[in-house]
Amino acid sequence: MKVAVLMAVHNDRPFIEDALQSLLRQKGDAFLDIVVVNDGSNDGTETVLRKMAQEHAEIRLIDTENQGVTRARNQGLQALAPDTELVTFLDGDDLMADGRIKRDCAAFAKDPYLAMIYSRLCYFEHSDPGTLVPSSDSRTIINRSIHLSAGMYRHSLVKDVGPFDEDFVQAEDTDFIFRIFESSPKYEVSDEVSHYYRRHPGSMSRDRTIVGREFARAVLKSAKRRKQLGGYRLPGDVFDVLRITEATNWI
Amino acid sequence: MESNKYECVYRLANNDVASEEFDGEFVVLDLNNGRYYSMDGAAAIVWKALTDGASPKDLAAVCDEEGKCGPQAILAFCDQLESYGLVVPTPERSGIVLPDTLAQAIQLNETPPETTMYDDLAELMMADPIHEVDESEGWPVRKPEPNGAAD
Repeated sequence: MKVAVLMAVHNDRPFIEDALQSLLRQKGDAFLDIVVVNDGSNDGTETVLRKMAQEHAEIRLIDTENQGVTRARNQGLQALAPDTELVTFLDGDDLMADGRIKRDCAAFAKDPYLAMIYSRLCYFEHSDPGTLVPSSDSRTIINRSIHLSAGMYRHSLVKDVGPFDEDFVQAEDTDFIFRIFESSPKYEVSDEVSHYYRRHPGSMSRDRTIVGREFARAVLKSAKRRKQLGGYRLPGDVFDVLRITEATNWI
Repeated sequence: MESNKYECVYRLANNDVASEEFDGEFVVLDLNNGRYYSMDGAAAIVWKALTDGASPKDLAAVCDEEGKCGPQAILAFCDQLESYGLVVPTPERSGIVLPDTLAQAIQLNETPPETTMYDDLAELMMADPIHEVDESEGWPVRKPEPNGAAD
C-alpha cells in the first residue's frame, strides 16, 4: 500500500534525523512517501533534511518560508500523490513506533471499508540518539489521547474532511480530529503504541492562554456542527486519558 | 417568583469554569467535570449580560413582553445556569442600567435562551490538552480531583 507520512517541520535539529529514521526503518512494509514540509527552519534542520532527502528516495522535501504548522500541513496535504492510500502525520521531534505501518496496512488491506485506525501514544521524555525508542530511564505514559499521529487515515477520508482550518492559531489538529469523527467513519481502536510523543520544555513554548482559548474554539465549532448532525456524540471507546493505570505515575 | 433571589449578581462558579466568546457566541467549559455548553442567540446575549454584572431581575424586567424570550424564560435560563454549576450568586447588587436595545436584541430571537450540555469530551478536557503539561518540565500533570482528594 502507498502510505504517506506528512511532516510539518520547524527547527527540530536535535530530533529530526531520528524522526525520519523511525519511518525509514519501516520502508520495507509499504510504499512509503514521506512528505516533509520544511517550514522555514534555520537551526540546521534544513541541512539535515536536504542531505536525507538526497539519500532516501522515500523523502520528498518541500521548502517554504515560515508560515505556521497549519498552513504547512495543508501544503503537505496538497502535495499528496493521487494514488496515496493511507495518510498519517509525524512531528519532527517525535518517533513512529516500529511495526506500526505493517500492522495498520494489514488491517486496512483486510477491510476495504475501514477508514481509520486510532492507536495509543507513548509520551516520553528522552531517547538516546539512534535508538528510536524512549531511553530506559525516561518516564513514559501510554494512552489514547487526541493527537494526529494516533490516527492512520484512509486518504479518501482525509480528502472528505478537508484541509486544516487556518482560522486556528492552535488546536487545528483537535478540530481536524473532531471533524474526522463527526464524519462517522468506520474505524478501529488499537491498544498498540503507534507513536512516541516527546515531551520536553522546548515543546511547551506555547502560550497556555491561547492553547485553552483555541481548544475552546474547536469545541464550539464542533458543538455547532453537532446541532446540524442532530446531537452527534463522540464515540466513547476511543479516548482513555483518565482510565489509564499509568496515570498513577503522573507527577 | 422568588424576587430576592434574582436581584443578585452572578459570578463564574469557580476558576475551572471558562467562558470564551467567538463572534458573539459562547462556549463555556467546566474543567471540573469535563462538561461544556454552547450558547448562541438569546442565550449568548443573556449570558454576556449576566457575566458583565447584570442581575436576572433587571434582565427579566427589560424583557417585559411575554413570549419565547419573556421574563419567565430569562429567569428559567438563569436557574439552568445555576443548576449546571456555571454561576453562583453573590451578595452584590447590580448598578448597571440595561439599555432598551438589549431587550430588543434578546426578543428578536425565535427561541428562548437555553444551552445544551455536552459531556463527551470529558476525557480530553480533564487531562489533555488544557491540563496537559507542567510548563517547567513539559510533562503531563494530572489535574487534582475536584474535591481536593490526593491521587
